[in-house]
Amino acid sequence: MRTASENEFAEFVAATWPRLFRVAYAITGDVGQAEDALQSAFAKAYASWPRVRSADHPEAYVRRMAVNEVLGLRRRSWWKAERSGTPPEARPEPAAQDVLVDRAEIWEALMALPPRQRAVLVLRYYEDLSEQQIAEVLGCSRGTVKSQASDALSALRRRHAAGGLIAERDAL
Amino acid sequence: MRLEDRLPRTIADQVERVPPPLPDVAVVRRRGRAIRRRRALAVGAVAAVAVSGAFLFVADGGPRLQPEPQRFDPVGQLDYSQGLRAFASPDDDGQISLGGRLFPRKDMSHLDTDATATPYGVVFFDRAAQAHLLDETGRDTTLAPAPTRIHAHFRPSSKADAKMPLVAFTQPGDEEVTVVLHDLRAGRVVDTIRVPCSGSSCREVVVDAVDRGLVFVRTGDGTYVWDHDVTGKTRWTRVGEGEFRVADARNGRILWSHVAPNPASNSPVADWAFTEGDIDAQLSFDGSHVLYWSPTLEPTTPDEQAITLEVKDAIWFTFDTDGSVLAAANGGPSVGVFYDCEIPSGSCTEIGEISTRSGDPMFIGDDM
Repeated sequence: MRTASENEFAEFVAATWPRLFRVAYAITGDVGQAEDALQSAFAKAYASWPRVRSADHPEAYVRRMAVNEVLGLRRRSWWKAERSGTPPEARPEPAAQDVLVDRAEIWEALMALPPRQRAVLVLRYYEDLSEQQIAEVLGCSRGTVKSQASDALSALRRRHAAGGLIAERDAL
Repeated sequence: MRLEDRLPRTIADQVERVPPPLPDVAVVRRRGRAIRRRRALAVGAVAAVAVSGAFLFVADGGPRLQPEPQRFDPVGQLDYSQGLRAFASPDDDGQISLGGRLFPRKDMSHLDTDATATPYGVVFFDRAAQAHLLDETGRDTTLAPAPTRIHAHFRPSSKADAKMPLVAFTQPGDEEVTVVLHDLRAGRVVDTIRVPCSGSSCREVVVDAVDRGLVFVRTGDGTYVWDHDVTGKTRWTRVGEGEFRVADARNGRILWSHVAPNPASNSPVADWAFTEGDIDAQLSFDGSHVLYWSPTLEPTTPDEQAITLEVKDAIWFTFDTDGSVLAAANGGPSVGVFYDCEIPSGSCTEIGEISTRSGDPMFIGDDM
């Protein structure tokens, strides 16, 4: 890769890494795994940089690679390991306890979903992608995205219906 | 408030509490370069691992394989009149399109991006590194005797001349790699030249281009041009040293990369035109334009105009054997759409679709 292209790649990494890290982290719930997945995705992007930079939306191209790297991690042991679902820095502050407890519960429920369902919700509600865009990222049909999203939301509700918190607030 | 309405803030709230670690671009680059190297070695390695033969002996610090040469059944008539139009799905259960016909990719796993597309058919290597031609009648022909020895990790290479019916390829031997120049129209070997090497340095002997009957051969100590028509000192002359690379050579023009050429004064290419470019770029058959990951072909001289292909959203490109450009675009989730684009008009015709669930579409016998 020539110098101009090297610089362009470095600028691209700097500009897109933080946002893509958050997406990867939202799906894995694990900082180290998110970083690993992102590093793999960017390495692949570097290996095919002419192709990536020629894409209409290079960031979307790498996001697709990153999400699939994250989902590929299922094959490794971490996915089976117990996870708290709460990052070390994400403990609720006492001042806004109710709201944050609610969010922490939803987050925990999200972390308990199957990975592809979690990816669908993250891409839909955090990245604000359309069903069609999510289908392209995950390499599946729009119908599959729709059913995965529906199943995921139902599972979230079921998980906390017993506690009543989500069901109660949904009724408001 | 509905769950769907709370999810965006919930996710944002959680992930934005975690500061992103700084990217280590050096590590990313190192891993990216490793991926490139693995890609380059993949075909040879897969062929070596997949052989049914056993490791026969160990020498020179590494195991050697002595697989059996392969023969391939006729596949029926093909149509190469509009170029080979050879492309394939990356999916194991996908299809390969060749000469206007579709085949299950698993039935033609020997055809890959490391083969060489020529107007006479696809030149490819079997697991024994023996060169074959799949011609327009659909028959398989061997182009040279099977090598008697294969160096560990040796990866045969081949390139075709755009104007003459010639293909050059490498064959491993004892302490040497033989470069074979074959006339596909006449069906005979024109000439051979032995490039001495030992151990792992043999894998550095690679055919990088063939133009006007001259063969550009990369070795461990530089890139040379082999002129089979002459004898004496001008038969094998230096074109460039060190990291100099020939990306392509067409119609008396050399597209080079990395380090500037310094051809020997007696080299037959000393007065050729040289154009700097990227290693994965390609020259048009008349040498007038460079194709590089874009629908716009840039001219090599100020006298020429750029050529823009009339194809929407194409990402992958290569020259077909008739000089036209094959282009591929994402046609939706997991679908690659292929086009054949005329030069210099730039007009494009859709020629097919394949599935792309597991990666990028491939141009068989010619990968950028």
